[in-house]
Amino acid sequence: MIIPSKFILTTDFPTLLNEGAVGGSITIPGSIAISGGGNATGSVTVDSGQAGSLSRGRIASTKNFGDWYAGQGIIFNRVGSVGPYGIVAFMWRPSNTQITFQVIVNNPSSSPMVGEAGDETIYFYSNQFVAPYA
Amino acid sequence: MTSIDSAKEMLMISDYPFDQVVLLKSGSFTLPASSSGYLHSFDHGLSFTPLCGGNWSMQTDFSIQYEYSSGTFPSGLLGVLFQRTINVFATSDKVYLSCDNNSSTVTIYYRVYGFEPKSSSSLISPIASLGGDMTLSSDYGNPKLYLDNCIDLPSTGGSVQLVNVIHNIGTHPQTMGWVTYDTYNGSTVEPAVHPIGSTNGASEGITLVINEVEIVWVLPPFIGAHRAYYRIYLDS
Repeated sequence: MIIPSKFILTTDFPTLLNEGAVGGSITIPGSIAISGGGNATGSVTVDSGQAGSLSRGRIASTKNFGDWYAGQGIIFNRVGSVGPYGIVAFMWRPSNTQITFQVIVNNPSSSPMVGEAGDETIYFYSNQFVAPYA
Repeated sequence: MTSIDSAKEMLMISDYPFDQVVLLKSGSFTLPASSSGYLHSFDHGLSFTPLCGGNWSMQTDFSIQYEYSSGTFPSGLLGVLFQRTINVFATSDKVYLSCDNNSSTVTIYYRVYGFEPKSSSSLISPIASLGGDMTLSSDYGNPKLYLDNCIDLPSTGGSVQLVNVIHNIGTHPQTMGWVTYDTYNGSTVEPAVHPIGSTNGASEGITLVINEVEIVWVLPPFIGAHRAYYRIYLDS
């Protein structure tokens, strides 16, 4: 080791190294209008740091204030003008150094729908890990 | 109590362990076109059911990779999120990859890691020898494991039921969760441990909520009993 301010310890078991975290948010307008059987989508893509990293995701909504849901995706259940509908929030990778946070609001009815009143912001947070692979 | 007599010495001590991976496996298989619930499996060789995670790719060098329970988007099909998606789960003897493919035949490359659950007291062989595999480097953060345990979730009646585990950390900590299911995609199998958020039909809608004082397992109405595993870290 040339630089004494750094150190490396090893054991016989690999671990996951946390190289940082990325986040983003998407706001769904209140009373959003969606045609019958249609979707409204929104996304934000961010640089995920080191290529090949693993993600440990969490997702939250301003309508469930203070709660974060563990995982790469979640469906929030809401009630609109045609009854229950889902907001699908999830993460996916368009490239090896990016992660996209995506929201899809689906109208399950064949009739036009107006969503729940009040703007709703979906927050995404992803801890990035160096994968324990060669 | 350990003490250091000279500042020239370095002592590294922690009351909290780091993640230690007890299973590492990589490989590939051919995923047939237009297949739903396709299963690929391998023997894990452990005396307990590991808590698995990892990623998958369609390139041999993993130049683009996906977490389990995620995939290639969009599907181009109404009501279907991913064009291709893969979930991972484990039983007492095997690790399974359950795959949905809404496109052409493709070679899947996978990497799976596994933790040992707290409920296990097995003696296991190191992944590597001579200290050559885990690198604890000051260039990275090593999440400190604060709570590592399992809990039995009850069957529910006609209403949502909440089961909480207090952590009192004061922030939203990194948390991993797995739930044991006996079925997936409508088929009965032996108890299998799935990461929370799996999209292969096994989850029965169970979600894991993290707040500043506790984690909460949210159980939908009319589901059976499950065992859940969790790992809560001091890191946010």
